[in-house]
Amino acid sequence: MSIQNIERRRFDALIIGAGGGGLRAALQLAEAEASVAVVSKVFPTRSHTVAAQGGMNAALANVLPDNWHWHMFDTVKGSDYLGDQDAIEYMCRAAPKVVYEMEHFGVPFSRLDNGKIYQRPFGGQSQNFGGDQAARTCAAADRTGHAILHSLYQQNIRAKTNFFDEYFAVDLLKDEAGNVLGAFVFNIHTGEELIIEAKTTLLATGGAGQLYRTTTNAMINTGDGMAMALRAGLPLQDMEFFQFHPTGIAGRGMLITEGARGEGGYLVNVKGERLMERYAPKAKDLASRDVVSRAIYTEVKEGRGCGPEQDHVMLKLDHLGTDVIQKRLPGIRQTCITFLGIDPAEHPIPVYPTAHYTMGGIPTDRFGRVVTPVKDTPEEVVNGLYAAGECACVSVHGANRLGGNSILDILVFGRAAANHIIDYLKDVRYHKPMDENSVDRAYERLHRWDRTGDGESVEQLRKDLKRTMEDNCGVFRTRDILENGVKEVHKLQERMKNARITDHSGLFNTARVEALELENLMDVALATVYSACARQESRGAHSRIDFPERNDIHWMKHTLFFRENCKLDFKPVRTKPLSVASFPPKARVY
Amino acid sequence: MSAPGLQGLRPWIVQRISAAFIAVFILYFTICIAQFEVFDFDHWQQWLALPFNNMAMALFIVAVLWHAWIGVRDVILDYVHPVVLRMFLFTLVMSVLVGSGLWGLRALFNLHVA
Amino acid sequence: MRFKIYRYNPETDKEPWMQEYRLDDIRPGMMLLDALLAIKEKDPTLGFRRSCKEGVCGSDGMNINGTNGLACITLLSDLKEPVEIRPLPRLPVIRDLIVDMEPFYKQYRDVKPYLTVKDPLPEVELKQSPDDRDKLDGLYECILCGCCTTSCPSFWWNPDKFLGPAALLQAARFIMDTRDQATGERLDALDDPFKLFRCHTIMNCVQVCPKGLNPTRAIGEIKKIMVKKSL
Repeated sequence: MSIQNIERRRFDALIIGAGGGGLRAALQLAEAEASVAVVSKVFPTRSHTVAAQGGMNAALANVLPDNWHWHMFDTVKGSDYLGDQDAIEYMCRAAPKVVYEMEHFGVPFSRLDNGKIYQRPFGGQSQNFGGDQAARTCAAADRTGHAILHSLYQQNIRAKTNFFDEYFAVDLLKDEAGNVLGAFVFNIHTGEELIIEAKTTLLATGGAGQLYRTTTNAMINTGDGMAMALRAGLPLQDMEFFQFHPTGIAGRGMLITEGARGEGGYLVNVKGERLMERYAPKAKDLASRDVVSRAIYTEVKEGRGCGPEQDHVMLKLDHLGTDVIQKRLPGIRQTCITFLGIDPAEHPIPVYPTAHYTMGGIPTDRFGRVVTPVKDTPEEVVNGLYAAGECACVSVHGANRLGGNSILDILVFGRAAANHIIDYLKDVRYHKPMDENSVDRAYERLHRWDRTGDGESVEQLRKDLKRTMEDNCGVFRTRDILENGVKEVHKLQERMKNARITDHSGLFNTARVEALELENLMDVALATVYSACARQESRGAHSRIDFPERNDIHWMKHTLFFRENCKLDFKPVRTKPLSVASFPPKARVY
Repeated sequence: MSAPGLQGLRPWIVQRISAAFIAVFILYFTICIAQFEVFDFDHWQQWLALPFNNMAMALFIVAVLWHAWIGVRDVILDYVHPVVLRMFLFTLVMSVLVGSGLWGLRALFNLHVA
Repeated sequence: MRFKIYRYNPETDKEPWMQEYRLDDIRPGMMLLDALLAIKEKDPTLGFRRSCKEGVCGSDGMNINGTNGLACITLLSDLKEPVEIRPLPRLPVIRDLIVDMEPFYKQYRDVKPYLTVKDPLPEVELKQSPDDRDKLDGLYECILCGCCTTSCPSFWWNPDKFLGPAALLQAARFIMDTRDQATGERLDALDDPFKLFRCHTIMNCVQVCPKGLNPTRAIGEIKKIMVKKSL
């Protein structure tokens, strides 16, 4: 189709991504009678929120004493003091309300005998600012993400949200002043392009776990929104912090929820020792994820791994009994039976740290507005653009996310962004004219893949990228490895320019979608290795062998990566909460 | 679109109640005839002349026909999609079933009168 | 290992056809989706949906050797050669193994699959006892993959009027939820010769459900509740 004939549609709000963040925002907007379009490259219930298992944190105090301030402390400590404390306070205070709302939307939470929502202990949780273990994670068995995503989609059906299912967003559209005015998308079924003009655009496209070879993430997690932001000239923040989940099924990557340890499971090495006693004497298996992942990595490296290759450790659940496992962890039991042929009620599960979560992302404030440095101002609002969830960096997770805080993040900030959009729409009554050059650029990006002839294959490049990231940007990092990573990713980007696809059909062309996704991954990979190379300290998930200590004097700041010339910038951490006293950095022990 | 007058739950219940009645009746009938050494037309008439048996047989005819109607109706709903053809078949089946029913009951009550 | 895969691109093919593929590098524990991804590396034109690779997103429902299932949790070692793969039956094919799921999603929307509470909502959670919550087990876990509905003969015969096992399972999920206050409306909406009562307990749905759910039993439960309500 020629560029002049592309259909244009207008909405108050465009939401890209239909996971928990996008759907929560869409629901809020639809109920406020804004016209909302939700664009998703998969049918909404296929979004990766569906795979979240353990639950969402909120200080409901249904099982053990709790309050939001303790939750806030744990989150700040978990973030290794890189999280922005205003946003963290906002999230922890909002958490109970957001959980109750989800319950009212129909989420089938597991229940306690008194009829209240069941809560389980998770890693990094404490009572009384670092005291006894807390039980803060609200769960629907081990299918909490599924329960939440389906309930949100169902409520959106009720609210009559406009869905553009299986549409792929190519790029953001802007005017010359830099206001974001919608997106250029295409219908995957038919190949037809569509320009969606929107007064506000919310990116809720999730993370980029597909950067790595072994990952708990779905194949759709290709950092699309992050790459769109980069191409729109905006930075990505704190991309060096990538979470490796301690318990992915070894060699395969399927997630075994932290809830398995919350319910009483523990890790053992080849000698049968509870290995976490050595690394976190107090919290043991419920230490923070970065701590547990490094512990497993170290055990294996020092020769105490299990299996013929001694390349993993074991997660023991059999002492919990079949009843607890069937009642509280039915999903992972099924996963183990399907993929390993073992029943965790009888045999331990082989596990190894596996790429899981992108802590970094598009910088936003606590209203979900995307912010970028302009001259001397570190955080200038980008008009019309919002981001929420894993693709965003508010930052509530800082250098390491606590288990149970990601579902909370998507719901709290999906909702907050929608509320801000509702206010913004009161002032911005009309669609602004867009810069047609931005349409041209998006059109060109899509149609670059119409080229025929010989060239590199997308499949090979994708494999090489994942291998490069795994080898050069894993759990432990050094300058040499990271510099090599930067070099290798640059090489891959050069090769990408010569890539071709052989399928040029308009109808459900998955080859073209995968090519566009790989382009997105390449940009996000570059942001990740550059940021990791720059940060000369160890903090949270970013462990530098050559800089083993945290350095609060020089590095208590956020990294910002820009695509243009791979420029890096930094901005201070917001250490001042909204109403309480700041939590100053302390040594982080569990 | 659902065909006019057709329902969901009621026929489903009727189908089950009629099935139960048919089963009970057949059992009763089998036990009864097993007690005769020979079972010819005269015995048959005598047996049916008893008011209880007569009523039960009348109910049985109604139950079988109603049950059949629901069963055939279901088959038509499953397999026959053109509306006109469906209506025609409904009419045909209904006529045959109602006709057989009237004929059966007439035979039953004539016998009683005789 | 040999595969025969249904191919159809309406842009270029007059009719659907079966393409044969061979894969030599079969590792133990390999799933059908792994094989399809390996085939797609060689032939990127092959179209199928996939995402989570572990049976929770419900993208890769297809007909495998005559039985519907999810490619990502079907072990190659359990399959007879040549493995014949076709799209889910009775839905319009968009391309290759990709079907248009819209009729299936419409059935889902038709049962109003959302919790309806008419009383004012409390500032905390609605209470529910563990026993009442247990009634939702086996109902809420559906991943909308479409395997059950597209294997159901009653759906093949009346795809536009019978709601199919997946949507009826969702109807049951809300009818059984003690928090829901639209039970009467839900039951009334199903009292129709087609929507629910085309189910003849053929039980193909139970046989194919990749999550081990039992829509036939759920449909039976709905009927029981309808009877109780009507008497």
